[in-house]
Amino acid sequence: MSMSQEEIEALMNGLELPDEQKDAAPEEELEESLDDDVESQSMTEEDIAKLLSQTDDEDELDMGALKNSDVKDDISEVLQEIDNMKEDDIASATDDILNENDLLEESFPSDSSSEEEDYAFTEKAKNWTEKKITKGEFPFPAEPSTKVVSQLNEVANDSEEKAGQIFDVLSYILDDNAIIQKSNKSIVAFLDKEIELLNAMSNKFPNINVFDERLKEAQRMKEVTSDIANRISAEDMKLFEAMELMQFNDINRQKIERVMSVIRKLTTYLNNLFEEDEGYEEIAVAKHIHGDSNSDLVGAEDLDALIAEFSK
Amino acid sequence: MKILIVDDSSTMRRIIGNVVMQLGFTKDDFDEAEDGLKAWKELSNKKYDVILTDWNMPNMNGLELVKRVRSEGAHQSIPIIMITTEGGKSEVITALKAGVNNYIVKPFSADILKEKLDGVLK
Repeated sequence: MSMSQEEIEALMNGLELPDEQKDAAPEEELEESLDDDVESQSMTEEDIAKLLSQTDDEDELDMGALKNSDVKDDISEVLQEIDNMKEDDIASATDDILNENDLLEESFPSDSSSEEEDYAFTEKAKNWTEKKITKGEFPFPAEPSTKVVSQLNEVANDSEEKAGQIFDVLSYILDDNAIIQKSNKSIVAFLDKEIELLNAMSNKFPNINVFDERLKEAQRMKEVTSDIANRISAEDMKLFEAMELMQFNDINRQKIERVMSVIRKLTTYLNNLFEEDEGYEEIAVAKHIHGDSNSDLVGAEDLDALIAEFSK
Repeated sequence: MKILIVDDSSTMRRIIGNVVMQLGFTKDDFDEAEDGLKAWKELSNKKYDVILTDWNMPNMNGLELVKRVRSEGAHQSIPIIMITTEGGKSEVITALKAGVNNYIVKPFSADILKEKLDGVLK
């Protein structure tokens, strides 16, 4: 025979209800009887006071245990041991601690070793990238020093500036040579007068050798001045030649500008392709430059013939 | 005798000036302009006897300058020599049609310029 929930609860509360009463008793009556039972079992003041006194006794026991525990003795002993330690013992203890720290450092590398590792890694990555760029597998990074048009423009402008400076140097030498030539002419004029005088003296006093000797010396000096003048003239011609050759700076600049123009047009095309609209100033470029391998280049004879034809 | 040298390269202007001086002219005998526009301004202010001009220049190129000189202003009959790197037959013909009197292809020597200069000044 199975028990109902009420019967189980009643049993748990120590109630023994007769079967007929149990079956007939409504839930409310059962609850009231349960409440009465709990109230009948509630603690009296005396019980509470007794419990409290027991608790106080337990606290006193715990405190006494703490006061008399081995902990206090252990600490005192450790402190006393430290006081009594010899220097050798302290050194060995310090070494032990340091060894422990070394082990810790090995486990967790310090900041400086980490920086070195970072640097080594960066260098390795850099070398690898450079190798790839050299092989042509990676493109050059777009840095100011590798931007083709701006670099070419810089080369052209720098060359122009330096060509101007070279021209200054050549002009200075030319101007200096002109001054030397002027001074040389004055010396020649003086020597001519000296030669004229010494010639007259030599003719008038043929027996006096010194006039003849001085005349020959003056004539030799005049030859030297003539040689100086010739050398300076030759030097001037070389300087003019160098100046003429500097035309190639302009020719090369125009070749560079032609390449720049092609790259700019290519850039415009690519920009158009990628729907980017950026205007730039078009530079006039030469079509046929000296040195080009082009059959359409005009020769000196052709040029003269053309000019003659148009001059008619 | 007054010469106007037109070239965007300062080195070229100096080279031409130097050659002109070799021919017996002095620094006072010539002026310089770095493009066609500046040359046109010079021509508006002064009287010149000959123009030595480059072709490829910014702002106003040599060909445009020649066309403008031939069509307007006080220098319509001035002798013009074009000194340029443009060495193609078609370019020479274009320049001659525009009105240049003579044409020199860079690089040139002092003798060539002298010869051409003498030719246009006759």
